[in-house]
Amino acid sequence: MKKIEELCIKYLMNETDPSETAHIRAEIIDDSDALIEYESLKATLNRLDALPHISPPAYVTSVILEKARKNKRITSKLHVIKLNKWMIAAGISFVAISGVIASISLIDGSFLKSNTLSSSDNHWVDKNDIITVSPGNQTSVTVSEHSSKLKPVLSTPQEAVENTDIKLAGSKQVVIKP
Amino acid sequence: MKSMKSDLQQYNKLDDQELVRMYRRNGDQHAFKLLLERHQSKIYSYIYSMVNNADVANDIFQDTFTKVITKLDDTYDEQGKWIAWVMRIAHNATIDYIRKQRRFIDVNANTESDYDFYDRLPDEGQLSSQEQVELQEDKTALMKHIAQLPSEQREVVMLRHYYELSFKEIADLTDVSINTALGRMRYALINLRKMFEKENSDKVTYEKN
Repeated sequence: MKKIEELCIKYLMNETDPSETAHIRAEIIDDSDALIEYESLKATLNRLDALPHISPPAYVTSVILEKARKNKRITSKLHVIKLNKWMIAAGISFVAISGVIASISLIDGSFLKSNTLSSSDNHWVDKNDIITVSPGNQTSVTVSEHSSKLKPVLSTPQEAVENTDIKLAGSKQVVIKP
Repeated sequence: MKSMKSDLQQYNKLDDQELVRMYRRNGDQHAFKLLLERHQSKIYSYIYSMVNNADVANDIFQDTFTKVITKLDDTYDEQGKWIAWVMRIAHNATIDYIRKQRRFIDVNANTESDYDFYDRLPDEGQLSSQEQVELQEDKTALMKHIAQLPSEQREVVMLRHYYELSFKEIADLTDVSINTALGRMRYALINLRKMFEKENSDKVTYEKN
């Protein structure tokens, strides 16, 4: 019965889906108890139509309208204040950043210069004077000047053989001779 | 004068969203007034039927719209229906009050407030004075029956009647499932039916005597 009652309520309030509509209509036609329930709930709901629609007292609405008027005035003032604050903040930030840049430039004049190549710096030389990169992609490596720094490695033929041994784990030792 | 009248006619053509936008951006008082006039009766009737006291209803109604005014710029999302947003505020304020006062509400008391309330009912001008009296008595009886329902059942009936919400919308607003909302409506109607039957039998007994 609970299900029929709930279906009746949904049907009376136009909230049934097509299958529920078909179901409740069939129930109302076939079952007299369902029909009585349906009519009874319908009558109860109809009585609720008499529930009054009333307006609030005039003094309450005028208080609300006054609040709405004042609030908008305050909000628009706040907007102006907010806007001014932003403008002031932007101005201060600009002055501060400009000041910092200017002071750095004054303290160290080479601040920007050190990070850029001037027109006279037409090539770069490494600290060890080994590689020289000249303009026009001409690269020359001067090894001869530093060949004296290289020391010959002295080793016997036997040591050379030992150095080329390869050991494979789990297998016979294989000796590869040069 | 004529242009003012035509301005107001133009306002009447606007939907809620447009009126809200006008009040929000330009502080348009006509727009806000029209919004209030459009929905005040539904919202006030709902609040009144839930608390059954005119003074309390006035306070809650005023608080609701104070919140609407102050939170409109920050909280209201223009994508949603404005009235649904206002209704939620009204509903929450009403339920908060009922929760706080649950133990102290006497639904049959406040005769002074009731008088005040029925003074403001719409005038049924075309009815005879006898019919008007009977109609008022019916409404009084109906409101008393409604007031006797448990608040959970009452809120479903009122949300349906005044705001024409679907069960899904009622379920969303009251944080319950659709079946619970439907079940509450069922119990409310069964209870009201019993009250109406008792009222009818009392009338018959009174007339016989």
